[in-house]
Amino acid sequence: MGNFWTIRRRMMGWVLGVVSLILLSVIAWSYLTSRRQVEREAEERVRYLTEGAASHIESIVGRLEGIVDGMALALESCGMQLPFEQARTMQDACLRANPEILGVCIAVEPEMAPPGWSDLSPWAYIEQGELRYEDLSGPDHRHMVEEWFNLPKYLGRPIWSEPYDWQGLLMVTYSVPIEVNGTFAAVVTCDVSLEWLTELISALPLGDNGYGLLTTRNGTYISHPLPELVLNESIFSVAEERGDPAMRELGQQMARGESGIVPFVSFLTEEPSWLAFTPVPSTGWTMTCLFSQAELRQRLVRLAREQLAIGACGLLLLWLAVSLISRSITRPVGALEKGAARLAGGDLDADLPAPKGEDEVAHLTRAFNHMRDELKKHIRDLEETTAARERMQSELRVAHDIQMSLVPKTFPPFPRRHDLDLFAVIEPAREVGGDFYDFFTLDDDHLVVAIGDVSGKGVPAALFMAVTRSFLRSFFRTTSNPATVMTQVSDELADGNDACMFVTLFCAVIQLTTGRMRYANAGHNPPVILRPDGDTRLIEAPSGPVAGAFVGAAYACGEIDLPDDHSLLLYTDGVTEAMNKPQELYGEERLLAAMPQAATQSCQALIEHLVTEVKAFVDGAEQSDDITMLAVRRRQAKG
Amino acid sequence: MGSALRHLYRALLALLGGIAVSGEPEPVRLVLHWLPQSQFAGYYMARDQGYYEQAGLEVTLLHAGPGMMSSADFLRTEKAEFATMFLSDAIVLRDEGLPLRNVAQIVNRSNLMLIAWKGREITEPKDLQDQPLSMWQGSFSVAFEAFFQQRGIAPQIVPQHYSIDLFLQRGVVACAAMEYNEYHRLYQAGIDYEQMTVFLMRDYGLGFVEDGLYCLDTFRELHPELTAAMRKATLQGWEHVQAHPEQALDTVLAEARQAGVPVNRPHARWMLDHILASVFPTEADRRFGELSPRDFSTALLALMAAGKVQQRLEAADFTHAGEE
Repeated sequence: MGNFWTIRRRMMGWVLGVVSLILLSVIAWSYLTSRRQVEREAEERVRYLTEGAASHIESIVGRLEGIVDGMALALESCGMQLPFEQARTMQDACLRANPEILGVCIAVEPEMAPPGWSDLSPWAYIEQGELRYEDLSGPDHRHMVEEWFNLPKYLGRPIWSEPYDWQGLLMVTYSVPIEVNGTFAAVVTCDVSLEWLTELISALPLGDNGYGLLTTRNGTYISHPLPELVLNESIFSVAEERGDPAMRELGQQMARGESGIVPFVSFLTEEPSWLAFTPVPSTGWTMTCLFSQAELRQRLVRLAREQLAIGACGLLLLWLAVSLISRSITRPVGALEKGAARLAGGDLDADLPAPKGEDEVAHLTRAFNHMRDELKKHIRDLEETTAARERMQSELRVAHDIQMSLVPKTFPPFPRRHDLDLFAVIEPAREVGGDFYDFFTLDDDHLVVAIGDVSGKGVPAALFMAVTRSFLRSFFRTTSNPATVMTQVSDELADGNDACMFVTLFCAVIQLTTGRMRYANAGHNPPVILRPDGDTRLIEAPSGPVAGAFVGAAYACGEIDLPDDHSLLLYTDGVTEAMNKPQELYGEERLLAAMPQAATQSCQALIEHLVTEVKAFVDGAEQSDDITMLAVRRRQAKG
Repeated sequence: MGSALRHLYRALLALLGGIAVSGEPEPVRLVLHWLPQSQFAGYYMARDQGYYEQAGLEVTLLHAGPGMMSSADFLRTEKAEFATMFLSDAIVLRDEGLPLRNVAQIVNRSNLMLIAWKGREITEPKDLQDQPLSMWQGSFSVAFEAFFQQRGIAPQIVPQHYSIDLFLQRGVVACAAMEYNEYHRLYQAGIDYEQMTVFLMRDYGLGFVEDGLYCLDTFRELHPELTAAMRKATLQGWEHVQAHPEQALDTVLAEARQAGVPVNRPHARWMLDHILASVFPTEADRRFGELSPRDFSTALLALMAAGKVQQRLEAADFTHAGEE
């Protein structure tokens, strides 16, 4: 699995997360604050609607009360001295004029019956649109047990009855007492059907989400959207069945004629609602309205929903923007990453994205481009350097080959001559110097030994050395005088020597039978003669200028005896100028001091001893010049 | 009628009754003295559980009620063979010449009470002096009048009919009530029990046992086996109510709704609880279904003292006297 949390995803996650959080907080805050406001408004509206409903009921019912009050006043003012027929006419007229009235009754206290009244409780009523009549009294004065008769009688004031079922008609009755000479004489009543009241309430402008209900002073339902509650139940019976003391308390507030608004779970819709109640004063009833809280909060919810929708759109835009921005950042970074990976893999020609603009990524890309260019240049340089070095290496190899091919390397050189011991060594430095040695016999009795050191290094030095050796060998064919040979060699070398090279050269001719040695020295280190007893002697003179520097250099010939078992050591400045790490030279003194230890040993042993000594001295420091030595000794013939 | 003849006659009737039992159930009508309510749960259950049928009776239940003739009138006019009524009413009617016979005593306790407004400073009986008080007329008034006499008070009496609205409207300071009915109706009109002062007649050694099952003596003599069967099956019905009160409640509510009587479950439950406590007495000298001689004589003496009853009546001539 790759890294899931790429910069882009992290960026989008954080930005969208934080912004969503802020957005939701703002919406929640706005919801909560505006909810309080909206709820206050809703409460006000509910209260207002309920009061409006109560006033509406009051106004309509109040008009009916007025009619009955008027009839009662009329009867009272004439002291109930009204012919029965007139009373009946009044009843019928009242019903015709007020279709909302179900029935009108004038019920008389038997002792106070007006003269000529055959029926003591004339009741005119409407049934299926027809005007009908019935006497509610009868011979046993049944009306006297009715509440609509007794309540106004004993209370002495008009009153609305509790709802009741009269022959299948659910109704309430308004009764007004009539007194004649301070004595209760009769009641005048009007009946209204609960159906009519329910229609009245259902026509109230309570909005789609509200409904109204009417209860009596005893909490009994007169009108309720659930018809089975009417008559059967009161607020208190419902509260009792539900075990809800708060509801009972609510009913008691209503009974006291108070107004209020409380949260309530409607048992019609089972929704949390606002229940507002207010009295309908003249009747003693309570108008109650329920409004679904959810409906009232709909506006609020709509607002929050709109905010959420806008927020969601905003988030989508933000997502797009962040997506584009992060892509514009991460795409070049990604391309750069791929390019860098290829660079790291060695593909310096890999395409890096072209930097755009002046941002950090562009700078980074430029830096990468620059780095790549530098790398390429560096590698190119490196390749050139390597080629040059290889060229030089091969040159050195050539020079080395030339050097080694010029010096005789077979030892012992004259295996059949037991009177001669000769050994030579050349330890070339890393960069080939121009050292060489040579030995050859002129005849059976004369041995030529030579050592030289050409100025400069490398192939030119090697070539110069080769030329010098060739001259040396060829001139010794014509003469055995080393000074003459030296002069001729010097002149030949100096002739056409444009490179201004030169050579230090020592050559000697040794007569093997006598040990007589003639020699010439062109600026070379003085050779040493080592006696068998260890004593050493430098052959310092004569010595001339270096050979090949100019034409006409003259060399003197020296002569010296080389007795039996005396060794002659030729060496180049590579020995005496061998340098140890503290930059000290080996020097002639050390050389001379080292030699006696090998005074009686063979030439090979002598030279190996000296090489060991020199190497011990330099102790690992780099060798800067060839170390070349040649030792020769005449041995006493055996027996 | 001579004793031998009477026995022969009875044997013949028993034979006829036996035929009836073995064949078609005998149709009889039982009128309950008020509208459907929990007070009559036992009769409904005796019918619905088939106890009447098992006893060879095909019982039609009728209801008396406001604005109608009384249950005793049903017997008098032969519109029913059996009727329920209060003991006091039965004794008064018997004294007036209607030959009533107590077949079973169902409500073996007085539930009669006076309720007064505590807020009108009524806390003891003497506070009722000269106060307007509504109360039922008829035989019920006997217990109340005995109570006023016992306490030496004279309230202003206002007749009370079906409702207690006058009391609720504060038209009177006190009203008559049944513990199983009006007392709780007041509670269901939002009046808390703490707002009411209650004088329960039985607490003052007053008040009579109430609902009993009655028939006319003439019927009983003709159909002793039907009378006994009615008694047995009715008591079985009440025992069933005691064992299954919620089932009985469902039946009562259904009956009331069918009859268009306002009803609600908590009130029906309240009434059933109190009626059951009255039907199954805990006192030593009272037995389920039996009218105790003491309750009978208490009622008789009180009614006589109140002038409601003129002649002395023997318990044996009034009760079913073990004719099972």
